[in-house]
This record gives sequence, structure tokens and C-alpha cells, in this order.
Amino acid sequence: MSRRLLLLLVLCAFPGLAHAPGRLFADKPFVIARPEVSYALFGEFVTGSEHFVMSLEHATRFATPVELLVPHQQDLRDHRPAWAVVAAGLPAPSAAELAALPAPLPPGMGAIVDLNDVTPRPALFESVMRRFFWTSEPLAVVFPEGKSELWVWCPAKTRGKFGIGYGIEEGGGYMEAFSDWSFYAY
Amino acid sequence: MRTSALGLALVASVALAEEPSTRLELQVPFEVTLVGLTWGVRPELLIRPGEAGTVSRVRVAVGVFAGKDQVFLPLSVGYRAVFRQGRLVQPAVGAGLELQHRLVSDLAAVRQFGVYVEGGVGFSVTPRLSFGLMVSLDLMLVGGPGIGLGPRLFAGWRF
Repeated sequence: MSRRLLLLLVLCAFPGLAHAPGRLFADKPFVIARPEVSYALFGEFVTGSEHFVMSLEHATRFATPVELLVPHQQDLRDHRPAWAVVAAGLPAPSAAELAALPAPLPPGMGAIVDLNDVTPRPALFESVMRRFFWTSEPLAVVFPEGKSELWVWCPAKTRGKFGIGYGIEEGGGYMEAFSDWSFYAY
Repeated sequence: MRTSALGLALVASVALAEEPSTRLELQVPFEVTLVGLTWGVRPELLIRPGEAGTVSRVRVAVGVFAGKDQVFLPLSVGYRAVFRQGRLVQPAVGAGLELQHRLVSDLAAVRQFGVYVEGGVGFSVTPRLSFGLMVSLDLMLVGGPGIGLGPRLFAGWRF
């Protein structure tokens, strides 16, 4: 009942759009079907060894920010997943970045890598879900024309939830978030 | 089914032995905020501005909540209408303004300002003592948009 009431209020108050929500699983790549809009994708490292993959394809070069979030909870203070965009046409990563990747780069591919190691760790407040997160800070990436992959992994093999934000233009909806409220909200 | 409905109606219409004539009521609700999960207490003072029997109350509330990622301190001022005074079952509705503060260790305090509505029911077990359930919804308009939902159980004392 309270969930339906909340949904009704959200839809009435914010009839516009939102970041498209989605849940990531390590054993199944997530397809970012509409790379021109923004996504807020959440997953969880259960073992610390998972390698999450999101695939997307752009018709032309496309610049947009990518940002990794971790819930601002004491037990996740040292949980710092890294991310990388892997695609043909991107520059070769540094030796340290290459060593940190969870899998070898496919032949002919380059990568933009963010090891999420900024200190002190930046934090932010997300007002719709009313949650605090630690953030890797948004990094603008120029995605090349064609297919790309977005990788998330945990170099320190820590466990815990994370979210990855992709894009700016809101074009998704709320329904997915309400279908799995406890995962997205808590 | 008909019998239980009739029983409920009878219980709801029970008159208390004494009409409360006090101007103030302190309620101490335990509340859980479902958007941005926190839990805590939100003591509220209800002030009756008019004659005994009026439904109107001025509500002033200060909350202290804790969650896994934040400390939440809401301040509220508003109006509440309390119906069926002198009866066991007393429905109530209200609305007002709310200033919300959220604190974490490594970020400046976040402040949001907006409006709330509330509704619920109290059970006045004696002329002074009551228990009940309220649900409040808030819509933050300044400092970042957002909607909150918080059910709360309260105990109240009129004095």
C-alpha cells in the first residue's frame, strides 16, 4: 500500500523523466539499449571477484559522464570498485591501469580507466532516493562510434553494493526502481 | 463480519469519561523514513489555540533519526485537525512546512525545505493518554527534489 502511494506521489510530483534504473549481474552483460539517455545501474559484489559488463553502441562519437557510487556506509569505507570503458579507438591504458584490469584487453581495443582512488574520497547526496554515496566523481568520456563496453570490477576484491551512473539526459522511468525497491533504496 | 463491524463502530463511538480541557499535548512518535532509510523519534508539541472542543492544533516537531548512511534532523511547523475529541477513536489530518537537515561525516550538512501532509488516528485511552498511528508524506522543493514517506507510532500526553 505504502509503495503504491509513494509511486503515485512520485509520478504526480515528477511527471518528467529520470535516470533509467537497472540491476547488474556479473554473469550476464547488461545492454544499455538507449545510450543517448542516462542510466543509474546498481549491482553488488558478493565475492569481490565479479566482473560486471555493460555493452552499448553509439551511431556517432558521443561524450557523456560516467561515475561510480558506493553507499556511504561505514562498512563500505574501503569498498572502491573501479571502472573502464573498453572500445576500439580509445587510447592504450597505462601499465598500472592495464595491470589492474579484470581481464586482458581484446586485441585492437583501448580503454579509459578510472581506478576510483581519489583521496580524500568525495561524497554526494542524491535527493530523490535521499541517500549519501561516495563517488569516483564524474569523468567525461568520449565514446567512439560503434560498440563499447563498460566494465566494473573491484581491484581490492572487497564486497558490497555499488552504482554506476552513465549519461546526463534523463529518459528512463521509475517503474523498475519500484519493482525492486529495497535493492535500489537501501 | 457484520458483528465485528458493529463492534468496531461501537468501540469508535465510546465517549471518554471526561472531555480533555488541556491546551497542550506532547506526542512522542517512533518513526521510520522509507525513502532514505532512517529510524528515530520525532517529539511533537500540539498546541490548541482556541476553545476546548476546537479541532485545530498548531504542531511543532523536531526529529532525531539515524540510518546506515546519515543522521536526519527534520524540523516541522504545521496545522493538525483532530476530530471526535472526547471519543476513543480520534482521526487526525494535517499539513505544514518542514526543514530537513542530513548529516554525514565527510560532507557539509544537506538542507532541504518543503511541505508535508499527514493523516492517521489516535486512540485516547484516558482523557490524557493516547496512542496512535500517523503517516506523513513530504515533498522537498528547495535543496533538491524528493518525496518522503514516514509511518510513525506515537504515545501522547495532554497537559
